[in-house]
Amino acid sequence: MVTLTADRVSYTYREKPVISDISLQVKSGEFVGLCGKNGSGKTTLLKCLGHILSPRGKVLLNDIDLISMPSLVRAQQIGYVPQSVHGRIARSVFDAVLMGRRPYITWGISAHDLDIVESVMELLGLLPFAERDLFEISGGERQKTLIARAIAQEPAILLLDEPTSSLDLFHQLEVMEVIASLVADQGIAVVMAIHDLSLAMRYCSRIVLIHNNRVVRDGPPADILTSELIADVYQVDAYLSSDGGIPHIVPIKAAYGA
Amino acid sequence: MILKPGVALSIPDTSSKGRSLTRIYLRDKIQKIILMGGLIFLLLLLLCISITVGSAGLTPGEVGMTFISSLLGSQTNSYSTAIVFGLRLHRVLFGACAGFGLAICGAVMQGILRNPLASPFTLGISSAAAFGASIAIVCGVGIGIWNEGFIVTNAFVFTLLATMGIYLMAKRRGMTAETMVLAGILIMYLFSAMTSFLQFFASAEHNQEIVFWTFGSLSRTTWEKTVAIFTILVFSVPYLLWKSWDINALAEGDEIAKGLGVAADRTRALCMGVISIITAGIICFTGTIGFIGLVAPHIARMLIGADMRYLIPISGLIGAALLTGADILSRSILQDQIIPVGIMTAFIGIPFFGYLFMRVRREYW
Amino acid sequence: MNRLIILLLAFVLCSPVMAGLPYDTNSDNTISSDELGSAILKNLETNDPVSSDLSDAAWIYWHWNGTPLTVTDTANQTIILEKPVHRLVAFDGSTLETLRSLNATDLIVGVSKNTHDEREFFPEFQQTPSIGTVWSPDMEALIETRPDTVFIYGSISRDSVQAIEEQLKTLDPSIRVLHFDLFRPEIYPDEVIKVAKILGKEGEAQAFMDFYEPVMSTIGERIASIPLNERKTVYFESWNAYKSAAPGSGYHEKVEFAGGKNIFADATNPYPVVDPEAILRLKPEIVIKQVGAGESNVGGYNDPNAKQLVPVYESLLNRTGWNTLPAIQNGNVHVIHSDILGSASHFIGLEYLAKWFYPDKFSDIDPIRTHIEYLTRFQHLQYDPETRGGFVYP
Repeated sequence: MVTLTADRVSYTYREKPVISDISLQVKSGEFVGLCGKNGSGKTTLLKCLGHILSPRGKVLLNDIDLISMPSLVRAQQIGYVPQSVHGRIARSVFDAVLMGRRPYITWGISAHDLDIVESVMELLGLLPFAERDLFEISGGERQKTLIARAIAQEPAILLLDEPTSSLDLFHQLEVMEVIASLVADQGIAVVMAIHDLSLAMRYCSRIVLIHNNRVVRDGPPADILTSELIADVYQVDAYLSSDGGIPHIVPIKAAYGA
Repeated sequence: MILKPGVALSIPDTSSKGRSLTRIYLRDKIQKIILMGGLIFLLLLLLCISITVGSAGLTPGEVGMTFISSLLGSQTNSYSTAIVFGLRLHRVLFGACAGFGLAICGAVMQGILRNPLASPFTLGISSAAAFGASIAIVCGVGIGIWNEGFIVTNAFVFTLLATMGIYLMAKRRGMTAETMVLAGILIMYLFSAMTSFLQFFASAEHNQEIVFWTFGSLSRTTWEKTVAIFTILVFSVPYLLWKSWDINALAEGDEIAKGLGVAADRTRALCMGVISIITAGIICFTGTIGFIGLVAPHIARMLIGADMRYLIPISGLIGAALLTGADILSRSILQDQIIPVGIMTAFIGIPFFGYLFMRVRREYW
Repeated sequence: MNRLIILLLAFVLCSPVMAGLPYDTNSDNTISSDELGSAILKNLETNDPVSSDLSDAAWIYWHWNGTPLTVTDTANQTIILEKPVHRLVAFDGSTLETLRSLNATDLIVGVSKNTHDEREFFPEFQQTPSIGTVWSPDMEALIETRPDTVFIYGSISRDSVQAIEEQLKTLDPSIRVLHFDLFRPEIYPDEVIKVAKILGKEGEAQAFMDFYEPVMSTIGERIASIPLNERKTVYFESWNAYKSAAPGSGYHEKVEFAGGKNIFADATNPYPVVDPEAILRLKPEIVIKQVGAGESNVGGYNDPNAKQLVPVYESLLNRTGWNTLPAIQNGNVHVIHSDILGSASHFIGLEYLAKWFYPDKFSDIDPIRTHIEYLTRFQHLQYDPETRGGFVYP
């Protein structure tokens, strides 16, 4: 059982607060969806949780402050998937996923490392692309490569920043299914910033709603994703619906000045 | 207290599917090792050619005999011994080390700064060294006999000063790649301007010396200098190789690198420090030899991609081969005269690089 | 506008005085004895002080036969001088040295910056204003000295010289610029005679030539008697390591004049940077190393003892592989200072070279005596090169 605790975490950028005083806890087996408007601080919160950024306040992994944890050990526990790759680089998909083994490699690559990479790539359907260059493949496959890399880190906690935003319908479902099964079978904890409220509703066990730099709601999707809250936070009139047992949110219109 | 990986992820074992990836990985690795072997062979060939080139009128056979008889410890012709061991051998070895060092500095630089135009001189290193040398030439020369030690020390010191300046600037503004590149440009222009200022007031002789120094030359090598640069490489190259995973991660972005457990800022700063020492250690003796640090990594990248574990040694071998080839040319074009090697590196490298650049089809950056 | 009219008037009024020879009343470009005589008589009658024009006229009559002097200088330019030289600026030390031999130093009003650095050799010019150097001239200082004539290089640094000339033309077109090298042996006698004629120092020039020419002709004649295939091979190195001299440079000509065979006589540029291996291959019999500037700025008149040349000598002996050279094995390595090889004193250096190349043919020549005589009789310098200064080693 692994617990990631954020204790009164704040982060300011150029003297403007991006997130203020956020406290939450994520445990193994939870699939947490981080929702909120653009610019509400989701990405920043994820980065603070993964110690990519150093916030005010504390982030603890099972009572150990991330600051005092050696970065390699931290990388073995927490995997972070950004929205996209920053620098363009000539690298094959295989090499990119292999990099996820870095927290475990001292000098050479072992057979175990290769096994893991191969399994992860198969899990995400990346084997046909193994030798292709990272920038020759589509954006969606690239996204899946980044996810595969994070999974190859064998983390206890997975932080993902809008992993489905550039995927087509098929791959969206594929990725969400893989992650949901990892949560269910392996018991990892997942914190995912997500725009698609219907997907969030369907797969997440818990929603954290961020508005005005703070957490406004934290609970099961049914409690959070109500018409009132959606109108409040997103300024959108919407209603909930359920077809064939699959819940989804139907936006009606954007309501200004609400 | 180290956290044991409690309920960490365990991936289902799919080994029954066969080790297709393992095959790819091994084949890839073997290809690169064969390439390295080929480059080592090429380099040795060039070194052998280089040691037979010169104005002394020795045939290759005579050069070979000199080696053999010194190995056997027998009496040697003092003329050919003086030529081969006293003049040529240390020049040839120094050139190979210098080419190797400059190339790996360029490769690492391009990785951690995420910039294809980066070279060991991007941080203004060559401008600072040239300024240090100019000061020594203008002040030191003219007081008694030529003080080469002063020039060498000054060039080295100013290089490290420049690096320190960039480090301090980056520390204040954030140790990102972009900050370092900008700080480097600032330093480069600052030292260039100061050198020009100095040249304005210097005599014609001093100016000629300064310009000659900036051409880059292997003519002032000695055994001691060769040992010095070899020692620097022996300590720094394994360190950079050890960091190659981290540099691979940095090349994709600081956030990805941090997510993989790389201390991005510290790694960048440490690598810059090591690069400065290697580069300073080379150019304080030779003057600025350009082009190799920029182009050798690109050639290597076109051949094997951007994996630092192989890019570092292969760039190094290519750089060593380029500089040795340039040195062969610089000693054989004019009868009895030596053209500064820094001039020849561009003439050698440009056609080679241009050919590859035009022919390689896949994106290599 | 008013100022312009005044300037024009002044110009018009002055021109009869500026243009043409003084007191050339019939404007036939000659001061005849009649014209001069009547001018002198008129002056005696009026009891006025002798005007400068009158003394000039007398001078021209006496030295130039009453006609303007036409000179073709070393840059092949023809200048017509209508007035004698009263205020002279010399851009180079060799010029100054030659003027000292001609006893004409009272004309000097401006010297080069380098002259101020040579305290021992040019003590009397330390207070004379400096006008910079050919490559970095101080034009304001030059104009301030109000010269009427400037002596400058004829065959080197053409661009810098031309720049100075053009600036002078705009600043003061009345200043006459004459080009003389005064350090090249092959034209030195001609130049000395021309300069003497300009300055009216024919007697001094003759005395100096009586001293100079036998020195040079002795060397020339005895060398001519040595067949070409018996000439000694020489490696000449200038101030900087491995910088030699080849055809087109003065040093090459001097080496060959003294009877040496320059091992780099085939090089393509006048000052080649040579491959150390080539020296070992060509095995010169004699090595001459010049010091005095650049990397080896030691020795010369400012050097109190000759010891500064010794480290240079020893570093030559220690060069890699040089123990295989005949020059080292036979003790024929010499260090010489540019003060006696490269300037107007070149004849002293040439005596040293000839003596080193062919000691048996020049056993009667003593360069030190020549040096002493030169300094005493012509340079009027209290300096004993036997006990002071670093000029040659060993």
